[in-house]
Parts: sequence; C-alpha cells; structure tokens
Amino acid sequence: MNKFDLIVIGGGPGGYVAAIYAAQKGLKTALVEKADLGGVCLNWGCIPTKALAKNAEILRMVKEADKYGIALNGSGIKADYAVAQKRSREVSGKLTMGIKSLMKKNKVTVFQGEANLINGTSLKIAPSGEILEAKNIILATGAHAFRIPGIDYSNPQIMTSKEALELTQVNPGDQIVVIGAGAIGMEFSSIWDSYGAEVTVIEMLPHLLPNEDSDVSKEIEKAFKKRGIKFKVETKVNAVVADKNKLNLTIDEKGKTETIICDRLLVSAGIRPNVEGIGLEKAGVKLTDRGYVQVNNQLQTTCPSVYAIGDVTGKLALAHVASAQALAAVHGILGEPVKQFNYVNMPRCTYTYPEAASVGLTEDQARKSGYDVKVGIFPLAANGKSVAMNETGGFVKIVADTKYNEILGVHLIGAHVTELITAATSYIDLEFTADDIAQVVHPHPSVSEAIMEAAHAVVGHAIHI
Amino acid sequence: MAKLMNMPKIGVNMTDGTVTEWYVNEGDEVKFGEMALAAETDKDVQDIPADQSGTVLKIIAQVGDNVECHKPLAIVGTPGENIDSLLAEISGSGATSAAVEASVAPAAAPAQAAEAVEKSPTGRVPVSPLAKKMAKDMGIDLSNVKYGGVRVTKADILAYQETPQPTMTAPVTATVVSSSTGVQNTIPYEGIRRKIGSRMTESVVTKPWAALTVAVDMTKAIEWRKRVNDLADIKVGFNEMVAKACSRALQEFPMMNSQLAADGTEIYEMEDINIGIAVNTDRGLMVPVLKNVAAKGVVELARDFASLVIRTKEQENIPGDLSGATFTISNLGSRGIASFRAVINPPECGILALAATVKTPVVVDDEIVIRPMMNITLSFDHRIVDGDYAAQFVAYIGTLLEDPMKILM
Repeated sequence: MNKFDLIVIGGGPGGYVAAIYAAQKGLKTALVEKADLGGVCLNWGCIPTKALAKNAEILRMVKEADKYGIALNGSGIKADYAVAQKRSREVSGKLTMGIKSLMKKNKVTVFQGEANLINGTSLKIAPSGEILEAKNIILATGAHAFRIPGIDYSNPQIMTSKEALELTQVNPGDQIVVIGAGAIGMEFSSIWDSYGAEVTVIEMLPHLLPNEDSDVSKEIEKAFKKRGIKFKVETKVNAVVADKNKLNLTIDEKGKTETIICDRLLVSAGIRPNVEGIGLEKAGVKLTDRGYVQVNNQLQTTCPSVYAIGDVTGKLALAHVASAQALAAVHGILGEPVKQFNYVNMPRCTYTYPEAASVGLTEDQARKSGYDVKVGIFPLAANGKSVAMNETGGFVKIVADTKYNEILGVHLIGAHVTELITAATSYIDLEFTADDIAQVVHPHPSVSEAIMEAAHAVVGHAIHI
Repeated sequence: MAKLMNMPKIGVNMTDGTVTEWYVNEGDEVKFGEMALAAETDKDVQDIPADQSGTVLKIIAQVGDNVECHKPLAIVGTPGENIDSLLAEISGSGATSAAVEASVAPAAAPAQAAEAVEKSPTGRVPVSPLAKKMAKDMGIDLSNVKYGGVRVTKADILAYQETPQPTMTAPVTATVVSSSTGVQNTIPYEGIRRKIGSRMTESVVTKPWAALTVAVDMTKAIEWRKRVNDLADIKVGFNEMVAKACSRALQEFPMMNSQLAADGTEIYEMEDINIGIAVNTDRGLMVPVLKNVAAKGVVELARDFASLVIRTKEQENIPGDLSGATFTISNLGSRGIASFRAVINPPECGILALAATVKTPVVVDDEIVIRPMMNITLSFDHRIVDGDYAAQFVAYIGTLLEDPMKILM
C-alpha cells in the first residue's frame, strides 16, 4: 500500500507545489511534512510578515491622517501589536488550511512526521515508523535561520525570525537591535519602527540591503534615516550579554568598539539548509562545499532517483524559485524537457517601507561582467501617480548594455514597487530591449509608467525629467 | 522520412545559384557531401554537394532555375515514399522552386537537418526582440537558428554563432571519407576544432590569396628589444614589437587594414588598428586581439598581451578579447620554421607569418657577414589589394624591423 511514484519530503512552496503538480500529471504522490504544510514561507516567513507589514502601513497612515485633513478625535492613537500578531497567525492558519484542501483535492497522501531516507527509493517516517517506497523522491526540506554562534538563544529576548513572529508585544520606546540588513532583518525593522520601537540595524557589509544595486541601498538608507531607524554598517557584534532585563551588545563598528543596550535582539544573518537527520548519506546524496544538496541542471542529486528543490539546493532561497524548481523537477522525473533557470533573472522583493524589488544584474555586477553599461533612472518624484499618492520616494533604474540596449537588470525602490517587478521580470524573460519597453504603452496614471520612462532614459531621454 | 534537399550556402557571399546541370536523376542515390549538381553562383559554375542522403524522389529545380540558398532543389527519401505533403508544402506557396517562400522548412545545414528546428506553419520564426536585433546585426538568417524553447533567444543566437555552419565545409569534401576504411581512432570533429576548420575553409574558399616573403636582418631589432627590456618593468616580446611595426605600416598602407563587405559591394577601411596574435592553447589555435595598437607603446602592448594570453588560456575571456582584429600575426619562430604562409583570418585582408630568426651568412657591403635573419611572409587578400601594394607594405615592415627607430619616425 505504501508504494508511490513520487514522495516529496517537505511541504513548503517547493514541496507542496511539486506534489500537486506531480499528482495532476498522474503520478501517485505522497508528501511528508514534519510541521505545518506551507513551510517557512507560509507559516514563519513571507506570508505572516506581510500581514504584520499591512498593520504597520495602516498605523503609519493613521499617524499621518492629519496631513490629509482627517482628525482623530478622542484619546489619540493606540496601536495593539498583539492584535497584529494574532492576525498574522490567522492569515498563516487560513492559508495552511488551503494547502491541506489542495492536497486532498489532488489526492496527494500527506504523512505527518520526519522522513529518513533508507536509500534512494525508500524512507522511514518518525515517529510512526511507516516505511514508504517510491520510484522518485524530491527533497524539499528547506532551510532554517542561521544562529550566529556565541549567543544564548534560550533567552526569550533573543530571537530568530520564527520567534520574532511569535512576539506579541512591541511598544513605543522598546529598544530592538536587528543583526543583518537583508530582507528579513529590514522588514522586521520597518514594521517595529512603525509601532514606535527604537530599532538599530547592524550590518557587516557596507550597505543596507547589501545584495541590491548600490543606488537602491543608498535610497533605503536615506529613507530609514528619515524614519529615524538607526543603522550601523561595516559593524560586527562581538558579544551579547544579558544584564537584568536588558541585553548588552559589544559591537565593533569599523574598528571602534562600543556597547549598546537593548530590550530585544533579532538575529537575521542568513539561513542554513536543512540537511541533517534526513539520511542523505544512505541514498548517496552529496552536498556541495557550502553544505547544500548538490544538484545538476535537471535538479537531480548525486543519487539519480532523488531530486532536490528550494532552499536546500542553495541556488536562490526564495519561495517562487522553489515553486519554479518544483515544476522543473517534476518535468525531469516525467522525462519531459526541463527549463533551464537563469537564477540572476529571478525577481527579488523586500517589503520594507519603502519597498525594494529587483531582477537581473546590479550596475556593479554588470560592469564587472564586462558589459558596456548604460543606465536609465527615473525618479518617482516625477511620476504623476506617485505624487498624487504622496509616495514620491524612490526610483526605477534600468541597467542595460550599450550595443543592443539589452536589459541586464531592473531595480525599483518606492511604495508598493514589489507589484511592479513582475513587468520588469517579463521584459527580461522575453528579452525585450530598452527600445521595446519604451514602445510599450503603459497606463496613465500609474507607477508603472516609471519603467517605461527609465527605458526611454536608456534609449535617449525620458519625457518627464 | 522524405526530406528537402536544399541549395547549400557555399561561401559567405553566395546568395543563390542557377542550376546548370544535374549529375543525378530521379531514382538515383545521393549521399551527403557528394556532388549532385552544378550551379552558377556568385563566383562561377560550381559543383553543389547534396545536403541529404537518400534516393532522389523528385527534382524540383530544373536546369535554368534560379534557387536561393536554403531553398529546395529536390526531395530525397526512400523509394515509394509519399511525398505529397512536401510537394503540397512547396507548391502551396503558389510558385516554382525559384520563388518558393520561406513556408518550406528552410534549414539547409545538413548537421542541423536531423535535429531540425520545428518551423512554424506560417514560416515566421518566433524570435525575441533582443535575438532579432542580434541576428540582424550579425547577418544571421534566423531560419537557420535552432532553438529549444518557444522562440529564438539570445542564447540560441550565441550558440549558433559558436557552431560553424557545416555548409561552409561541404565544398571541400572532395573525397568522401567513411568510418569503415581502416580508421584506427574516431575523434569527434566539433567545438573549437570544427570552428577553426570552418574559418580556415571559409578563408581559402572565399579569399584569392597570394603570399610575399621578405628576409629581415634582425640585428637592430634584437638590440632594441634588449634596450627596451632593460628599461621596462615587463618583458616585451618580439610579437609586440612586430605588432607595433605592423601598426606603423598599416597606417602608411591603410588598404591592408581593410575588409570586403559581406555582400561584396564595398571595401571598408577600418578606423582602428587591432592586431590579432595567434596563440596555441590546450583547446587549439586562438587569436587574442591587441586593440588600438597605433595608440600604444610596446610596453603597454606587452602588458595587454600578457593579460590577454592568460585570459585566453584560462578561458576567462571578456567580450572583445578574441574579436575585432583588423590584421593578424602568426609566429612559429620558436619551432624553428624557416618560412611559412599563414591562412588569412577572415574578414581581414592580411596575415603576417613570422619564421625563426637564424644566424645566416649575408652579403653586406660586398662582404660576407653573419646576421640574425628572419623571414616574414605576408598573405594578403588579392580582391582588396594588388601584389605591388602588398609588396610595398611587407617590405616597409622589413625596413621598420631592420631599423626600429623608424617606427617612431
């Protein structure tokens, strides 16, 4: 009875998509999940943080209401973070239920527990002890937050992203330090600042959002400064010591040692793959030097019957990349042509205020790759809809190659720009040149016009600057 | 399955051919690479090789018909096969072979025929805007480009560019070698080997070349190089010195720095002097290019060349490293070669072959003295320049090397 065509280990946006798609394609499919369907993304990442970000946005709007002639009479503004947190859990819960029903609808058999490979075609589930067999296995075990060593994570004041989502109290004046200025750290900083906390971001590299185009980094730094969010770049945390109900952090800022005191600490310094305790060695699944599961361009591991997708492959730890890999892996298993990914051209979003979104190469990367780079920038301050919305911070930046005006990268920063990056991603995927984008009629008034204007800037001149 | 046998493009300038004679009749066997007909092309009446193997089921292009490259000449397959659909496809465009529209599968390249591109029924090749721009710029016929996805992309164009077009090598397959005749070891003819092969064939087939040799007394050049190396912080080689001398000579003789347009209607005198230097690597012959040689001193050239060679050997070339040359130098001196003629690197007009510098008795002022002599041989494209012009050019290089001070003058 426990024989399948395919077993997927892990029910995140890689695993559950693979299971559904395989079942739709006629494979008898099982999925093993140790916690909740939906994985980190749905339960402890992308989705609940977006719910919190929405609460934060409303709070910011209410605080600014008087600017728009809206008076709040009565006892002032009272923001209850516990309600926001509760809403974020409800959103996750609702979507998890949705995945559960999709599993049922597509006749994917879900096993609750931890999978341990016996070999490349069978595994044992703990604690039930059930043994499953399949022709193919997809590893979609995901990743977990990296815990910087030397910090006592049993202290409830010290959090990784998961504990940060369990946090029910954030009050004005709370001092919170965030280690790591990547998407996760920056998003929590933005949310907690909106709730009045005094946030300090600490980053080892020279800029906030260090993987983004340097102009985007500079713009978010400008915006954070304006909001009063403190940050220290080229700074390391050397020690964290609990002192009564405070935390003392010894930091090294460009060679200068300093102590900062805070109430809470979020460690968001990257992720590590979930490769332990799955029995990879028994199936002959090898890891890369960096400790991720090694896959070929068909997403096949060193054990031919076993595939791997998502964060555990270390390609690009984003939910939509995992989902895309899921479809590709199923194609591979079915012997169909497998789409070859160019991971550079995957969209990347950060849901801070303002938001940042990008696809393709940064200007620096393009120059280092030897392209003859040409840049077109259009500031949102010159975009009608942005002015009307009173959201004029940010810009659209297009990085192109001079010869054919080939689009190498598109970088956006501004309110809600994560919704716009899809257009830029399509343009790059379809190999539009700047000339082509400039010729596409974009709707007016819309923020998306700024992409067209930036393309005009690459080709010659933007109209509105 | 029956296939179209198309007019191959032999030679870069060929656009079409008029059938003058068929060597095979319907019912005869043809083999890929064997001469099947004669046609008048841009050059002359030439033998045209079959780009398919099989039995000729139907001859479409009759004697006197003009057929564009990659358009059908005949249908080839197995006897008794139904060819109605192919015929319908051809006549569907309402024309004779001479006017067959692109609605017929146009892939002529034999190597590609087997894995032929699926052509859209409209004959339009789906292509991304970027790939379209690139193809136009590079003069690539999109109907020949193989693509894996739903349309031709940049990657497909780059892959096409990397793969030499087999039709180019077809005309020289005079003797058909088959794998059954005493072959000891079979090596795939592919990648760089094949690319070099097609470039060489293109050169020899399209360029009416001639060669001129000059013996150069290298006494002063050796001294000069020694002096330069005493002063410079990098070792300057003979190649860089000769490149510098060539650039001086190319400034004086700009037609040697010219190229014939692909359509053969114009000669382009090139603005920059970019000199390629042939380098042997593990992968085969590569030609890294020194850019804008006229504007640089030998020390700067030596520095450029050193990093070019490293990048080329490590396969880490950046765009432009291996392209854009307007003249080439090939040096086999270190192998003790007395003199040789190098094959011109198309579309350039000339290549200078440097032989070994050998102590040789020569007559100076009616006395026999021993001098380090080097033979330099210029191969040039006779379509662009005549022998006298080329002779002046190569003699001038000799003069410059015999007294390198003149390079500065």
